[in-house]
Amino acid sequence: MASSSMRRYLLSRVAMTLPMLLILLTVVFLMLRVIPGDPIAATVGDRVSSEELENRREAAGLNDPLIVQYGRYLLGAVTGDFGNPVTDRRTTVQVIADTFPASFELVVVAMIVAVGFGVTIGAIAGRLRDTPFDVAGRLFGIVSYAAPVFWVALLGQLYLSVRLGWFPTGGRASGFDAPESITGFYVLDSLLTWDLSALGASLYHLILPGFTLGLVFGGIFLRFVRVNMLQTLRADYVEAAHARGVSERLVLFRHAFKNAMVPVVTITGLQFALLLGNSILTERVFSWPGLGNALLSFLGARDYVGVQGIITFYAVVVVVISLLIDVVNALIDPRIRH
Amino acid sequence: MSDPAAATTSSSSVDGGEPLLDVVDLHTHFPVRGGLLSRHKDVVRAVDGVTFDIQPGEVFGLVGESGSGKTTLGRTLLKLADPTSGSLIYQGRDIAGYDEKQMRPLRRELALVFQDPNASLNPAMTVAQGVGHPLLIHGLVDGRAQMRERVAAMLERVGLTPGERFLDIYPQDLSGGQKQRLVIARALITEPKFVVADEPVAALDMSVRARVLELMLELQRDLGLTYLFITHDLATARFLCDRIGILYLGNMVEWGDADSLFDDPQHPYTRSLLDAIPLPDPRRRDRDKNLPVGEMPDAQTPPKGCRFHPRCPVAFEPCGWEGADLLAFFERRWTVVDGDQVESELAATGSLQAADLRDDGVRFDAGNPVALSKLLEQLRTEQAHPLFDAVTGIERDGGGIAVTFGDGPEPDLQTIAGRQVACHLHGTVPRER
Amino acid sequence: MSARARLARTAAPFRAATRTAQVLIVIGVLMTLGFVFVATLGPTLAPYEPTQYQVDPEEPEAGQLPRLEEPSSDHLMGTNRDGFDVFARVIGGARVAMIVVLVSTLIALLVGVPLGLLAGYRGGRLDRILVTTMDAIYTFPSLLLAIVVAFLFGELFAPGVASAASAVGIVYIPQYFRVVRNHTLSVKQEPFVEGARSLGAKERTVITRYVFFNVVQSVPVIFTLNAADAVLTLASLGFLGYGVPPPAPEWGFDIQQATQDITSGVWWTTMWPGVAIILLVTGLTLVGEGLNDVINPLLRARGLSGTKLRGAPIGGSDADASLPRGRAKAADRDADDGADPPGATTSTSPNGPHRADGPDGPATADRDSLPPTAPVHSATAGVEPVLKVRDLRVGYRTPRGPLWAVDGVDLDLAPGEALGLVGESGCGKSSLSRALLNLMPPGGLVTGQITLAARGDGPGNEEIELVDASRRQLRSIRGDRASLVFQEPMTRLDPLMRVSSHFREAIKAHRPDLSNDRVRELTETALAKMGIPRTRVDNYPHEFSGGMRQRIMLALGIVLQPQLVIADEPTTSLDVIVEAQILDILAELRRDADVGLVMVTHNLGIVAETCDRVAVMYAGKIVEMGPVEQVFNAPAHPYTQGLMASTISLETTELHSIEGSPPDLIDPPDGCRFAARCPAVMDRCTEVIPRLTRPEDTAVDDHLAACILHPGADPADPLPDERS
Repeated sequence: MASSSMRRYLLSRVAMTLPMLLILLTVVFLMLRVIPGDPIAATVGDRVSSEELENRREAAGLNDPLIVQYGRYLLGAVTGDFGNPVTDRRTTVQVIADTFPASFELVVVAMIVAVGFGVTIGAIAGRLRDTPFDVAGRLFGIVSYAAPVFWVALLGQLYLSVRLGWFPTGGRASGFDAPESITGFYVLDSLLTWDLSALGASLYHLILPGFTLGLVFGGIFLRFVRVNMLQTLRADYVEAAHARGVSERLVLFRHAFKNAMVPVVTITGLQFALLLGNSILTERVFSWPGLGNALLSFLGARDYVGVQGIITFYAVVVVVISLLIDVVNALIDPRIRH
Repeated sequence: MSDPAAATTSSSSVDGGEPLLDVVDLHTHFPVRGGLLSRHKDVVRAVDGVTFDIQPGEVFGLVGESGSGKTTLGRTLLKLADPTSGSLIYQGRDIAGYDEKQMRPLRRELALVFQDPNASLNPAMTVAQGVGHPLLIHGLVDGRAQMRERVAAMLERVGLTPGERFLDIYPQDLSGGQKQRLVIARALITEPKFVVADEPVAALDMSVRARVLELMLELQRDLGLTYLFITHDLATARFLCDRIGILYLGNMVEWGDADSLFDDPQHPYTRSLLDAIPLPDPRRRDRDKNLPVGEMPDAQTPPKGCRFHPRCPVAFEPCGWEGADLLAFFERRWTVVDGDQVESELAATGSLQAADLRDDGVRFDAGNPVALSKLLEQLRTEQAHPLFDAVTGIERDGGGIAVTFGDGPEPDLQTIAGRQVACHLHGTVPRER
Repeated sequence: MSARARLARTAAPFRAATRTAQVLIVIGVLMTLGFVFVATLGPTLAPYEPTQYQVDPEEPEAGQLPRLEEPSSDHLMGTNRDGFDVFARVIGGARVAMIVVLVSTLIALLVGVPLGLLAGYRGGRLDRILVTTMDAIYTFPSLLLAIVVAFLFGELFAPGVASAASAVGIVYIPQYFRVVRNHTLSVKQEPFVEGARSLGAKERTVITRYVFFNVVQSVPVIFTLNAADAVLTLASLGFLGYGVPPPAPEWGFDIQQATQDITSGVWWTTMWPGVAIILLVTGLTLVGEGLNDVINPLLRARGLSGTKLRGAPIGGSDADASLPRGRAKAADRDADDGADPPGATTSTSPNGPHRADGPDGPATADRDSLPPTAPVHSATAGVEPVLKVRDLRVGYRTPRGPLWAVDGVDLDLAPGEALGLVGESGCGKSSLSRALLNLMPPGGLVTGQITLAARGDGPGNEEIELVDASRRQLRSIRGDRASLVFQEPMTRLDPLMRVSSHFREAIKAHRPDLSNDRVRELTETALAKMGIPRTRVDNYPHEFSGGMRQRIMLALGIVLQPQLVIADEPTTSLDVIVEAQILDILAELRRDADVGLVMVTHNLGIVAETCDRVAVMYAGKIVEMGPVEQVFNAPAHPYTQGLMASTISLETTELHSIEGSPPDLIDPPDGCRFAARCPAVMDRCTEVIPRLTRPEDTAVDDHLAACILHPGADPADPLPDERS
């Protein structure tokens, strides 16, 4: 494998994403400076003495010129200092460390569900264009996406938790059920400590929220994969393979499906970001202690610094994911590598 | 020879008189975005120093294969692509540096006819709107009514009668031949002086081509047009053109009077093009065709010296041999010798991808230096290929073998048989760049 | 152009769409309109106000509405915990949703579309900056962005419809930008845009009339799909408390309020607003998806609309149209879309082609006078032909009716012989080449007989009838006993698979018994024969040029030593020198006594160089056939003569052409199909279909022409054997 060209490609991709990150961070910085006055006053102005306010402002560096604050903010974003929220004693990084693993686990489960059924049904539907299966699959994809995440979550809660009692109504595994906290990712921690009952409890709590979130977004994969299958099945190389007597099954899997999946990898990255965003709704319904809920509390408390910190973190995560997607793309598509 | 009926116009072109268009050392290069981190900005040398002229009233044929730069050259002459350097003298004025504002009044005199009739007309405009648009742009009519009149008249001129019937329909409803007539109508409605026709009949069936070509010749006669006829089809070029220029990888390799060029081609590439044309005469089928090997390389990395040398059937020592040619030689050799020999020779050279190409030759790092040196000497002695004549050294270099080549300059245009030819066969005349 | 005509032209792609797409659009439109209707009429539909405390201020006894009452006849959807009628709130929510969606999509449109146009057209730095910015916003989780913006606008101004609509709108700007920019980029490359510049049009005119007017058609799809998304985003904002604030009846907000009711088992406060969201979003999405199916050329249905084909139409009545002569086999579902049906889009005059006579086939006036098959002589008499074709017909399903691209063809191919199939576009030669391997697209049909001779002894080598063959039989033939080499080599290899893997796959499909070493050996030998060095055998397709890819395709075609190689215009997309190289290879193939070659081309020179015999096709039929020298020296059919005369070669001194254009194959004319353009036409020509017959003055036995200028061609004449 031409690894030097791969390295060059990676470096160029990194170089391309840096401007994107810069723009995002600048937008975030400016957004939360549009409010009149300063962030701290806006949050606790009416509850704290003016002297205390001035001290806090000085400590937070809010009296420095804007450009200096901007520079400090950017530096912090890349070194992992996302600020100190006004209404929380923890630093933003600590808040994130406490809550992000929960969100991440949720999103991973949702992704598995979404990709699992979305890709399978989408591929089959693409092959069986306009048959009842295809129409049903398409409709299912459309309707499931049309159902709001929070609504599906609520109904799931109502029927499967409250009425039937099959799943917990919310929350993560906690107390004695929770595994020893090493990384914060419960499933991982349970495996690392080989605590099978904790593993079971973690998964048990993950299923309903993960599934409801994944179901809704599986529809996107379904439709996308279907369209890609339709297109690759018409491709010239597919016809040529048929003309060589390659079996239907091999043509489908080896040529059509593989090629159809290449663009799917790209949207997987986008989907991850989408799921991360929408998980805030699931977290609300299931009282899931994730980053989304943390953001909501900061918003509710008008804690601009906290909000900014979390949004900055989201921006960084999203950019890293898009970079990872580029890498994976280069690995699977030889045309990009060379 | 061109159609006798049209001969009157062609001969009215004054040979040696003031050219309509004088092209002097024209270059059109495109930067290639190699990503933010590429060390050097790669450049596609689509047109790499072209000099010729076009006489008023003539049909000048620009012949080349795809990748030769003929399309880019045609566009550059109309300033639809910006020349990187050189002069473009149109009726005495150098328009190479003109900006769009300066060009606009001139555009009335310049026209372009494309190859693909399906994509040359705006699907969102009716025939009247599309064909009449140039009249509005250059203020040649007062109002819509007059425009429609002129369009209808032009449509009839190109053979779409009755003109009015076609005015309000969309181009998609017409056949290929009819669409091409529309394209011609639009191009000529402002009565231009110079028309660049880029493969105007390539997309049409044989039985339809003649009609469109006849139309073009007729219009040339009536309107006193000068054509640049861009094509890869030598047969059509022979029929239509007064003078011809053969383009290869951004360079003009031979140009001059059409008849003598076809009767007695001087450049090996011209000769190859002629030999390669499949003749609709079964009796001539097993004739000797000295075909070039390989395909045209891409314009980003042109071969050293004469650009045609890696493929030329009669290349010899000064043509510009370089390391890449030696690698290509091995590759080709390994398709004709038997498997065991391939194995042993491959063992001697090592993987060809690992070879280090340098300005003056190539260095083989992998493989077996002793065996390689022996092999190379053997090939050199048995005259396996003219490139070995240019080898100046086969030496040990560190852990490998370095093969160096002598100088091989790029040939400049010389006057041979009344034409301009760029080939060392007629005497080595290096080109200054 | 009349208004009706303009309407018909806009509706044309809709009519050509698949039934499914049409249904989807209609249902979606109905659903969406339903909501618009409900939203507009709103208050008059519900007996209560969404924020109604009292039924009627004049009658205070009515008092507050009961709280949390189950659905009943008074309250169709029940009441919520604040005592509002749920049905009224759902309807009110429709109104709110409509307004917000309209405003937000307008914002996104007005910003995104012009920016996309400018960025796509101008390129350069402006484009790069815009793309990076838009990409940044696009990749950021849209809901979070909407929340933060809504929050900020709420703080800065006031929470309300405006804030919510702006938040939703801003989030969708990148989508419009991307779609419009991409479309602009592709339209910009179209020759007509460059043509506009060459005319001297101002940039502003080029961007609007040339680029934008063509880009705008992609906007409705993204508009509807975005609107659907906007409804969901608004509801999510409402659920979290950052949407349109109470007491406005917003669906998301209502669902949030209903959260507390869940645990007590109250379902109607949650259910109905959710259902409303689902219905509206589904309706909008259906419209968007349907439009996409119709507009997107990559998804267009080919061969899936129009009447289905049922065997060859023989005789006058429709009832028996399903009984074909010869055996018919329905389209093989193996192959997916192949070549576009030729001739389907040719139009002969601005008046349009003549109308089809009926849904099941062309005019049948002279079908009774179809000539019996004239005996076709094989080149080497006495030798069993390797390919025997009798009464072959190839039809396609089109919206305007069945199109018979090949309409009754007989031919024989001797072993080792090279036959050229020559004709212009729409003559049926490409369809014929595909039909030989029964590689039909959906909606395609092959009838007649195609017999491939036995290839020695052993299983799998028997003589086989291809029209009737099972899928498995066909698969075993293709690539092994008969191969097809296509026209455009650039796209015929799987970009994700190495060249050696293509060979491995092809060889193993037919000879699974061979060892890997042997497979490798065969691969390298075949490629070497085509001039591809073994050091490149493991490269990927994109590492090869066009000419080399065609050599690879040829190598794939001969690696298993087939009896027959069919080459469909293999050099048309290649340059003349590369073409000559490939023709040399094919000429060598011709010299190989074992391989039969069918060479499909429009170039007479190629036929002369590579073929022993030639068959000239016109409008689906063979009009002349014979040894190459004979046909070229003394063409007997006026079309062949016209074709030869109009071919421009190095020796051409005069231009000739053939008047008119080929006929419409959906509704072909009566009699000889060339009659309308023939310089030697007689009255009789439009009355009968001539059959292939030996011209009197020809030197060889197997030179045939279908023209009544030659005795024996008129079906009324006695057959040649019967002549005294």
